[in-house]
Amino acid sequence: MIIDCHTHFPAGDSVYREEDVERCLALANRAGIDHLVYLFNTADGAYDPPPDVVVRNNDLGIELATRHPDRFSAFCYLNPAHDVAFLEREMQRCLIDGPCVGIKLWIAVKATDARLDPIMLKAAELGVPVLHHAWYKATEYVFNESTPAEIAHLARRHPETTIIMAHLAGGGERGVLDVRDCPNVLVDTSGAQPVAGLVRYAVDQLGPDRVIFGSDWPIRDFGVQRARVESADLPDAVKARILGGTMQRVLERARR
Amino acid sequence: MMPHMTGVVDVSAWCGRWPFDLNGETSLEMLADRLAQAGVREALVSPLDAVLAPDPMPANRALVAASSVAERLSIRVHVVPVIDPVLATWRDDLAEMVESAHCRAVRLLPTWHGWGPEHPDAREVLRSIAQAGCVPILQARMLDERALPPSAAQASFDVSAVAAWLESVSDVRVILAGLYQSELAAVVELEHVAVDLSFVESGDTLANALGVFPPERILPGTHAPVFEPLAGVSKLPVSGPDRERAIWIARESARIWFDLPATGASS
Repeated sequence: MIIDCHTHFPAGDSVYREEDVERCLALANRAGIDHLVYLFNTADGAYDPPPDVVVRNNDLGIELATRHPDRFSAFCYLNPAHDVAFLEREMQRCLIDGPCVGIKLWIAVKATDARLDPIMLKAAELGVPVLHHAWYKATEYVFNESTPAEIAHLARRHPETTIIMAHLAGGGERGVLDVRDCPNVLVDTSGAQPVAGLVRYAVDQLGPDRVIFGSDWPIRDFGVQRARVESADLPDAVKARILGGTMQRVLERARR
Repeated sequence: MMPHMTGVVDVSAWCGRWPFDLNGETSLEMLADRLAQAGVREALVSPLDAVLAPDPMPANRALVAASSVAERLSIRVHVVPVIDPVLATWRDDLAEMVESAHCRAVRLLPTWHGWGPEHPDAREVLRSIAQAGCVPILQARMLDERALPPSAAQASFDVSAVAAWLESVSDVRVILAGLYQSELAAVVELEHVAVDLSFVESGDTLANALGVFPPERILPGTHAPVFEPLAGVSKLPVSGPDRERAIWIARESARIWFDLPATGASS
C-alpha cells in the first residue's frame, strides 16, 4: 500500500465537494497512490490562521476521513499561538471524538516555542504523530518558519512524541544530520525539487524506518514526488517501507 | 516501478562533476544508462563542469570527446556546449564548438555566469548562435534558489527582464530551461520562445502547464543527473485526458525545435 503522508487540499472555501475529491483521487490513482494524509487546505491557510480558519480546515479533514476512510486520513491542524482551552477543545473534537490520527503544525509558531508543549504532550498521550514543517532557506524565508535544528530541539524536549519532519529536500543534508540523533523523528520526502541522491542519503543517515513518502500535493505532483523515491538507489524492500510500510504502522498505532 | 513515458527526447540533461550532487561524478555512459532506464531515448547533454569553471571550454571539449563513442551509448546524445558571453573569447568558442560538436543547441547560464539582458553582447550572442544553425537554450536556474548553499549565492533569475530581452530578438528561436510554473505566463506571448518542464511542477504538472502554454512550445526536460530523471519523465502522464498531448511533447516537440533527425537516422 502506498501512503502519501503529506497532502493538502485545494478547496478555496474549505467546503467539502465530491468533485474536488474525485479530481484529487484521479490524480493519486494515476500515480498509483492508495491513501492520502490530509494536513490542511492550502487554499485557505494563512501563516497565522485564526481559530475559525483552523476549525474550517479541520472540518474538511473530518469530512474526507469520514466519507472516504479507505482513501484519506486526516491530521488535526493547530496554531499553537491560540488559547490552550481552544487547542484542547479542537484536539478533543478531532482526535478523540473525531477521526483524525495526527497533528499538523506549520509556521505560525517556531518549534522551539513553549506553546507547543501541551500539544506535544497530548500527542504522546494519544499515540498520534505530529507532522511539523521545516526548511533551511537561502531565500523566501517566512517569519517563524522552523528549521530542522529547531525540530531537533522540539524532539529532545518531547522524546515520547513521534514527530514527522516535513520536506526532506527543504532541509537537505544539513536537516537530515540535525535530526539524526533524535530517534523519535521521521522525515518525509515531500517538497522542493527531486534532487538526486537525497532519499538514499536520508536512509543511510537515519535508517530505513525513519524516511516516509510525502508529496506536498497540490503544490507538487504525486507522480513526480513518488518517482524521487522509486529512483533512489535502494533495495525494493526499503522503498516499500518508505512508500507506505512505515507510515501504515504509524497510522495503525494512532488509531488504537 | 511505476508506469512511465518512454521514447522521451530530453532537452535538459547534463554530465560531469557537480559539487552539490550526492551521487558524485556522472560520466556520459552513466547518464545515458540512467536516462534510458527512465524512458529517455534521446537527450541534449551539456557539461556540468562548465557551469562553475571560469572557462567552459575544457568541459565542452571533454564532452565532445566523450560523445565520440556515441554508438556505444544506450541512448542517442546531442552535445550542447556551454558558452559564456562574459569571456572575450566567446565568438571563437562558439565557432570551435559548432565545428567540432556539430551541435544543434548552445546553452547559456546568465545567473551562474554573472550576466543578464543588460550585457552588451546579450542580443548578439543569441543571434550568433542562431546564425551558426543552433538554438540557444537559456538556463534560468540550476537549483531551487531556496536550497542554494551560501557559497553559491547569486542574483535571482528575473523572468520579466528576460522576456523583454527576448522580445527584442524575436527573429531568434530560444528555449527557456528551468522556469517555474509561475513564470510561464511572463513569456507566453513570445511565440519564438519554448520552455522545458525541468523545474515546472504543480498538482497536475502537464495539465497546468498546458493551461498557460501551448503544447507545441513545451519540451521535456529532466535536469538529470542533478534531479532524478524518472521524476522529470513522470511529468508526462501515460494515462488520463492529457495522454496524447504528453506523448507528442515527449517524442516530437524537441525534434521540431532542434530539427533532430527521425529515430533510426544518423545524428
